[in-house]
Amino acid sequence: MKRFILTMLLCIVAGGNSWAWDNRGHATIARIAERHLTPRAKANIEKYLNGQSIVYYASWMDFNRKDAPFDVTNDWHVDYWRDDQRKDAEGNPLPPISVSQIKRIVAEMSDFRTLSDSLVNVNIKYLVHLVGDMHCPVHIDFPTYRPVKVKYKGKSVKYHKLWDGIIVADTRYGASPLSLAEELDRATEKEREELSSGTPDYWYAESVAFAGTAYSLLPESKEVDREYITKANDIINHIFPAAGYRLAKILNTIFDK
Amino acid sequence: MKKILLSIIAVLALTPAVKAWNGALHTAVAAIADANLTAEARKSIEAALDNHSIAYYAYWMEEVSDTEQYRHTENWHNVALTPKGKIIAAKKADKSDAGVVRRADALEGLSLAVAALQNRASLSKQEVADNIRFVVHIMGDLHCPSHYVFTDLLEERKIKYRYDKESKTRSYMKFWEGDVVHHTFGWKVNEFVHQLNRLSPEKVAELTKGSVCDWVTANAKVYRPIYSYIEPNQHLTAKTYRPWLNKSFEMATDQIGVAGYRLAALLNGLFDESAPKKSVK
Repeated sequence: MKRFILTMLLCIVAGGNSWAWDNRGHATIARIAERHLTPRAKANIEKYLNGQSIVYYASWMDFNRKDAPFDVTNDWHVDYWRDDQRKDAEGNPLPPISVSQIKRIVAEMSDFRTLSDSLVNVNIKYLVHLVGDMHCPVHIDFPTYRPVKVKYKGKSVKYHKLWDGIIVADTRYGASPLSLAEELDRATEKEREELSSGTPDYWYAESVAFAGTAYSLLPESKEVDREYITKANDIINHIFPAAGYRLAKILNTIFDK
Repeated sequence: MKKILLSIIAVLALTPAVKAWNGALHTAVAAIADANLTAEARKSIEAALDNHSIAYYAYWMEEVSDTEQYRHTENWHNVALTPKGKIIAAKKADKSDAGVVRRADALEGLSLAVAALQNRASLSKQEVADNIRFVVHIMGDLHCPSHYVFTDLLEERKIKYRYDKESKTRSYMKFWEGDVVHHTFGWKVNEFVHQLNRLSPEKVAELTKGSVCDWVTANAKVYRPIYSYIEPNQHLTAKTYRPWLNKSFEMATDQIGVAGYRLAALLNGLFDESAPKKSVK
């Protein structure tokens, strides 16, 4: 597994292409996951989503983060690195919020049939979104990167915004999550197993590494040129399938019974 | 080469301003309908359309509405209703009624197109194709909330709002033609089909029950509340836009699917003898 990830990181520095996390990014990850749900898990999930797919609700958390009663989830989307890490009342560092929420929900859902329909419904939406977010390089917020602005097509934009949406819109695939999912979902069964092995803690550690790689590839001028976009695409070519396979694994474990 | 360039310029000059569900949403409606056509209906329809699908021509009516040949269709996009949601036939509208009411003749256009297709043996291939394309487009329009002209809400149709720091205002009616869906889902046509073409046969039977006028009357009840979501010159900020949009986008998106199923039911009734017939009135 470690070797596989290292190979991926090396490949990215070497070259290639794809994209990230606005609604299209989340929908693409959800679609890759959907392609690997077992029929029983898919049927169970869609029953709780009133017939809709997980793709439809991939960004539901973003759409509802400012409205009560879901405004309590507003800060579940981003984790803060090291010195900025969330701390408990005694000042002890708390684990990454996306990881702890995913673990909490997975535990709560272990016997999902005992829960209310509305709780299962909202937990599915949380899992679909949070697994996507925890794989986004700028959703691990490094204090060094936060104030950085990059130049993109002559305009100054926040580095976070670049990865949250701009790269998504700047790829050769157009903007269709269905097509992109089909394009990126090419791993063999063995590779899929390898990518979805491990735990949310491990995936988070890997995301931290990807976040560092994404930033280190920026040229000193902070000009986002075609070379950077190409390398950013390569990161996404690896992250999207990994996130999709992991989400499928979580959902199959909960719902294929 | 010169001839090609002149043709291109001529085509561009004829392209009208957008005034309906935008092209992507009309195409999505037709693509969902296409997925629900019977094999027999699809075969007859595509033979008339030179092997193209109905989705290919979903926006055609808008593209030709300013041409001399099709100018008679320019009012076939809206439907007028009383405050209680009763349909007003455009030709029965009073002279004192506002122009937008007198021009709301979508149901007349649809009736003519459906009647023509019911007697298509006497039509040329071109006429059959035109009438199919009218039906496809008008059925899309009849599921777009901004195409419902309530006589007591004419001023509300002029409402504009301001988004964030933009100095220009935006039209609320125009918002309902595309942004209401596109600002939530960046879907392409295949995504609309994947996400919306998934209703159970029971639900489809319920949605397609009755005549087109029954559907319009039912739609009017769902669409009328959109005018209560906005105030004139409302200022929406980056923070308030999403909660505001949440009131609207699911209904608007659902209507794309509903329109698709109903369009399929209408066309199957016209082109497949074994399918139930649907009437406009």
